[in-house]
Amino acid sequence: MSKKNEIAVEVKGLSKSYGPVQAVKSIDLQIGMGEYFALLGPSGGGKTTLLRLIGGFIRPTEGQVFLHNQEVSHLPPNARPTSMVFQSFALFPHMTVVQNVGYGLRLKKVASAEIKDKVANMLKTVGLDGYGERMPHELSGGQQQRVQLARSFVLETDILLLDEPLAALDANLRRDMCIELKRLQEKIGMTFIHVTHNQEEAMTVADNMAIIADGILVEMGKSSDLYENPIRRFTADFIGENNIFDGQVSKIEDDVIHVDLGSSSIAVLSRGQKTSVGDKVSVSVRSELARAIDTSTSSTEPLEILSGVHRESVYLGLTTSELITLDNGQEVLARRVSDRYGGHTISNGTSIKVGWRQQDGRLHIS
Amino acid sequence: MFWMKPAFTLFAYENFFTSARVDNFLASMGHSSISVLIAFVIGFPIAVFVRRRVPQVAQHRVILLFILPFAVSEIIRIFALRPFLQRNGLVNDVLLKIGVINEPITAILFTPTGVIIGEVMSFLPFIVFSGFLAMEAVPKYVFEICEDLGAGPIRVFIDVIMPLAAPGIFAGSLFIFVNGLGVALLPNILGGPGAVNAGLIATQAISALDFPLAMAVSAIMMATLLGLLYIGHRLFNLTRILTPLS
Amino acid sequence: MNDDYSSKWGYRLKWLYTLLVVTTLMLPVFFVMYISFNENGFGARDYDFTFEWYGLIFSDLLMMDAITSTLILSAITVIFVVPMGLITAKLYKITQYPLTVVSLMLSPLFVPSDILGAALLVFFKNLNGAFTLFGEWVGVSWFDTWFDLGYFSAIVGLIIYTLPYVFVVILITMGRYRKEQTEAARSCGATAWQAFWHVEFPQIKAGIFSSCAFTLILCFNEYTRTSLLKGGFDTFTTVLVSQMLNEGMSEQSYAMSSLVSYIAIAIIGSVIIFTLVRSERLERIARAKAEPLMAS
Repeated sequence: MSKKNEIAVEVKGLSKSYGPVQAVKSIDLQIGMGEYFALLGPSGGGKTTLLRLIGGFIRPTEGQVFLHNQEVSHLPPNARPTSMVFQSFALFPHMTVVQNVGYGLRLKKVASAEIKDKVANMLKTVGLDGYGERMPHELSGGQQQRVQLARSFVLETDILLLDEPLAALDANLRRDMCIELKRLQEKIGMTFIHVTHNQEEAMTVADNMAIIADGILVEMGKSSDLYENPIRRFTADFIGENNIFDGQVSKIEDDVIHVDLGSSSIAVLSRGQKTSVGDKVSVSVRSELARAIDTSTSSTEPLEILSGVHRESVYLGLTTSELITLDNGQEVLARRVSDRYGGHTISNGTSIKVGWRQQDGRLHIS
Repeated sequence: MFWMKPAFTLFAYENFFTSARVDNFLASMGHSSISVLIAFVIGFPIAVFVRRRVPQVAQHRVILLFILPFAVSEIIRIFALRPFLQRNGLVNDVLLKIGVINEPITAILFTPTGVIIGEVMSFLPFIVFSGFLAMEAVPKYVFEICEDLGAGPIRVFIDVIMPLAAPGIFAGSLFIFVNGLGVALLPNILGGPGAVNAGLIATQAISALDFPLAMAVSAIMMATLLGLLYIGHRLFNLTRILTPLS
Repeated sequence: MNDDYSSKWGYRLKWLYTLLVVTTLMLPVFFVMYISFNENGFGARDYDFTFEWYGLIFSDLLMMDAITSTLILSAITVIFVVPMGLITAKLYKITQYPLTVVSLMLSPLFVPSDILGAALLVFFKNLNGAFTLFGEWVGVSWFDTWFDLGYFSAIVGLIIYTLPYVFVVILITMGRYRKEQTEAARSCGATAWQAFWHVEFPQIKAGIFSSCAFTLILCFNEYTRTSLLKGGFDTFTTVLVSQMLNEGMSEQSYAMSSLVSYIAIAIIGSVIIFTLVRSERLERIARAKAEPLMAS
């Protein structure tokens, strides 16, 4: 997989404005060849705009797009080594599956016998062998997406752009298609850039992902990194279920930063981030690493503790969540895998403490 | 070749306003207004009916039926009214036969009544179309709410249908009104001597090579039209009509 | 569907009323058709059915010339108007000033035919005059008849007249079309033109052909603009008018009017039926989609 060292897509200072509205604000991004890359973010945050800028469907207001180190910023989609899979309605309704898939090849004036072969093979690859003569309206949503994939794959471009391809499918189908997409990507080896607002989807398919919100690139990295050690407060807020505490730096002791939350104080490891006393910072903790502690429990290791009142237990099958309102009014969540045999239940309204190991807290300076 | 010497003057307008033509013009406005009213009363209920009671898929087909008259040339349609409305025409024949009247009515053709009938017949489909489009602004559930609250059909019409469908109705009515004023054929063929509308004045002026007069009349017509459009827009916000197009 | 519509008779009555109105509107036309089959012409007491007059159309040179000139005028108008309408419709979809575009495009509808004809006539005469003067000044007689009234000015008038209709029809048809299709085609390597021709056009074909048919019918049937802007009595409508005002309509004219009407009604009727069939087919497709299909 040495291919991964080369850069497939690079974006420098890319901006797009529509009148006074800035959809994309100066983004710099690099995507390696053969990667499955996700652009994750809230709706309207600019990720689709970014994708379309890469694909050539939109002209940048500023900045440059490089595909395989060639500048393509002002080239139309048909001149770029990319192809796109859309959310829906993108199959040509007046053509059969075979004609749809073969369209790009026909444009390139490939010999029809060769087209026939390639299309047949590709249909097999995506699992639609025998569906060649169907019309798009005769296919289910998942099948339509596969035809789109086949149509793009058969062109043997290096980069595939996917614009919320699974948004129109129901939850179960989506999960299956996620895995299917990952399998296909590994098999074919193209660079995939997949836009979605669904975390689970992004984390299932992607090797790396970038969080795009409000037109800027918030943070980028492997899914596990973003989940376990997010750097930006936004990332912590967006991915996973995290408790976030905002406060000011009150004391710095080597690696340990003490944060004043108003009525209480917690400590967190700095992990190399530079702060000064008085800075506004945030600390986040994954809800599954926070535990509800009543006065009877003794802990084996030093914990950061905040006190509050137990509100509610929510049983969700796999997990049980404890909702706790702290003394200062903030609500926190402590999740755990549900106890199989009863286990202790805390009655609502009891005074309770919530705690976590110091090293499980993450510091965010922005 | 001879042509007019360009010189800026309001002579043509003076000419128009001081002659009997102004009276004719105003009279024709009156006739057109009556036509609009009659067309509305006859045609708008059809639009409401099709929108409300005819199943969605069939609606467009029914409305398209009203295009059929346009398959035929306007002059044929208008001219063909003569054998109906004239002294020894079909209408009189029938009325005589069934004994409603004792003598043929002469006061149809070659009078303003004839012109009005001609206008209604020629332009009725437009009220149906614009009424149909206008009714898009009235969602179905509104009628259910009205029934629920106990409103009778008249109240529903006044309080609900009219305000919501107003822009479309206005546009359709304006179309009929303006065409009634402007189409020379109608008074020419159906009206009597002295029945004129702006269009006829203009075309007659042209044949008499009195271009300034023709243009003056046209300008007045356009000013009337723009004025009405403006009033309509202020009252009803005509841009609402355009939503089905986007 | 109105499953609990209380009064079945109310419904039927209203339907009857609607049909009655349509029939009344069509009455004069039917009457003309009725006469066209009468051997004894208009107003005669006896009625003998015959096709004689229809046959005579083809031997009446005046008629045939008229029909041919009108056909030529209409065809040329269609060739210009439909692409214009199409381009404007596409512009409307992406412009930042949709209101301006629509107002401009729909404005001819509110100008009555005579006013439009008269104004254009004077316009062309002025233009003609200006160009001729210019020519004299420059010393050539080249410009003399450029904007003379004739086929050219008539066509301009017809284009202005029909453009709004074409625009609306195409726009409505394009409402169904999804932009993603063009993007998908571009993504497959198509140029803008290829994307339009291979993907968009097949889907808006119906609208484009309807607007062609509609324009043809409109041009055939309109009178004022052609007469004012072309002059003479050599088109379908002007020939009829000349007869009406002078000798009264010849029997062939009734037949010719009826013939043109049949064709026009047939065209509109087939458009209605075609959309009927199409919408039922689409309904069937939608129903099929709603039912559970095989697992993906």
